Amino acid sequence: MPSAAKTRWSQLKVGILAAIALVILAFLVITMSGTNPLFRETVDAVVYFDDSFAMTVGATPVRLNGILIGKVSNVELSGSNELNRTVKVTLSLNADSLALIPVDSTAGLAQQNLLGARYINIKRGKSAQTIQPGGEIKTEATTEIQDMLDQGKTTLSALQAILTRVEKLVIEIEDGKGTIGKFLRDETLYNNLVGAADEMKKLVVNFNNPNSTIGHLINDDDLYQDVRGTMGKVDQLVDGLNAGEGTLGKLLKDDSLHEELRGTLADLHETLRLVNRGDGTIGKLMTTDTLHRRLEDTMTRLDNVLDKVNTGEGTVGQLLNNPALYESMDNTMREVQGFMKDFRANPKKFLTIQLKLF
Amino acid sequence: MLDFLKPPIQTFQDFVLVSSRALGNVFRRPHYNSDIFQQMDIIGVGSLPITSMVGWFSGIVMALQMSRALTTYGAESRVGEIVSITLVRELGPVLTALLVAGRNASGMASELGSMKVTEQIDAMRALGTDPSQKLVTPRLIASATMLPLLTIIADCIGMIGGYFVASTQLGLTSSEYWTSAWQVLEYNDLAQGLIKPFAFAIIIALVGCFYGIRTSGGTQGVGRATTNAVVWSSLWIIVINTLITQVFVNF
Repeated sequence: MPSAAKTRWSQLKVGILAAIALVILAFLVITMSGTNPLFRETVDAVVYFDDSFAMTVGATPVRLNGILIGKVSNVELSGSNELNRTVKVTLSLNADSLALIPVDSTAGLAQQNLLGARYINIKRGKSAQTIQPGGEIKTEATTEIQDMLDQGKTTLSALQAILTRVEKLVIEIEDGKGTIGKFLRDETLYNNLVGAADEMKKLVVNFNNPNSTIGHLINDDDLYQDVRGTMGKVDQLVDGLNAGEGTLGKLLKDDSLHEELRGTLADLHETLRLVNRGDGTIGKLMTTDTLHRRLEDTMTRLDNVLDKVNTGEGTVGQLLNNPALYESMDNTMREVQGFMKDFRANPKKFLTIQLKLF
Repeated sequence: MLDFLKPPIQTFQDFVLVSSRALGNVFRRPHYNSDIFQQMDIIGVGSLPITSMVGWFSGIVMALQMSRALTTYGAESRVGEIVSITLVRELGPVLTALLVAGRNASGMASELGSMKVTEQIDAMRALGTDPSQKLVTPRLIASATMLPLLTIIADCIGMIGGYFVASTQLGLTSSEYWTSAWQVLEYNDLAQGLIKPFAFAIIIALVGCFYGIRTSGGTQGVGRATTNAVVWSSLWIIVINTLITQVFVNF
């Protein structure tokens, strides 16, 4: 049986050792996975993705422009039918980092390594306003390797289809089908070309032959001489014109017409001057207003007369405006008509000549 | 054939009997508390310097060895993760347990063996004291309590050793090392790192005491018992370590 003092000493040593070990263990448990809220105050933010890409809750890191600021704390289906909002990812971020995330920041999934592990990367925006606790961070479109492979596959199959057709085309060309095939394979065109070249050669030979028309044209100098003669005559004509011969020459060279025109213009000038001065009938007409005044006077009087006529004053006015004359004339005419009728019916009545002798 | 198999089977049977009795006594009165604390002092505090040293140097060695491999991939900054994972999951528990086995299983076997050959155990039994309750159970409790604590301290000192290499030779900043060293650990690693030393401690105490109690043949027998205790406990530690690792890797 060990002594009491020895036992107490043992107990103390064991206690200290146990305390140290347990403190280390506690520290390890708390700081494990890096983002335990016991040491750091955290706030939540929300991001929506179309796929969770098998993110590990509590382990997938969240980085702000590459700097670790938190971790994914929850991944769940949002129940939303909207595209790109299928999966709701809750981020647990360090409280002090929230003030560094502007509202227009975008979150995206980045590839941590080639084995497919991912982290959420938030790219800082430029807005002065920062997100609130529990706020949503917008997502950016990410191109997944799988998507790229899918696109590549589509492109490849399209290319393959094109290649198949090109191959068919090449085979057809090789077989001499179609225009290009004929062009490359058929000798007809070549033969035709050779024939055409031969014809051209013959034609040139013909051109050179002085007996043919064109040959004549090219080789004989008669036409040239004719043209030269014509040109010489034209030359002479122009020389004559220059020398002032003939009407046209005089017109061009003699200045008497010009002098006559000058005289006429001088006379016209004088005449106009006189007109302006008021001499003669036209001058008076142009320069004095007597005629004008008279005309105006006449017009005024005529106006007065017409006014009177319109109001029925005077003989003409009555004639135009009073129906009495018309009516009396009408009655007279009717009576004359009746008389004539009567006269025609019984001419004896009027033509009876009574010879009465006393 | 039967004669060949008979001794090891009988030995195993005896071991199971002694073990079940000792384990049963844990929950049975009387508890010899002063003996438990004395054993804790001997096993725990007494082994602290050597386990700390081994932890420190194994951390350094891990950092050095792994940095070479990691440089190939340009991932020297990951050295903290490797040191912490290997220490917590494997090296800390196993190396500490092997050291404690060499130091304390031999001590238990020789102490109990000497008591056996000098007939102190028989005298104890004659006086009405259960030798298992008085001798084996306190050692079992003390080992099972102290070995996990020793392992925790050894892990921590090993990580500090790894940090020493990382900062002086690899040029890593302290936060770069420690953040990755702490963050890479998961609850799985921690559970593995604590269950292993607990299981190893039971093996050490039971094997050491078992070979001590069944000592026969005088002082020569004491020497044989000591050797057997160290060899078998070390072997069982390695075997059980494999089994536990297998279980934790699968789940």
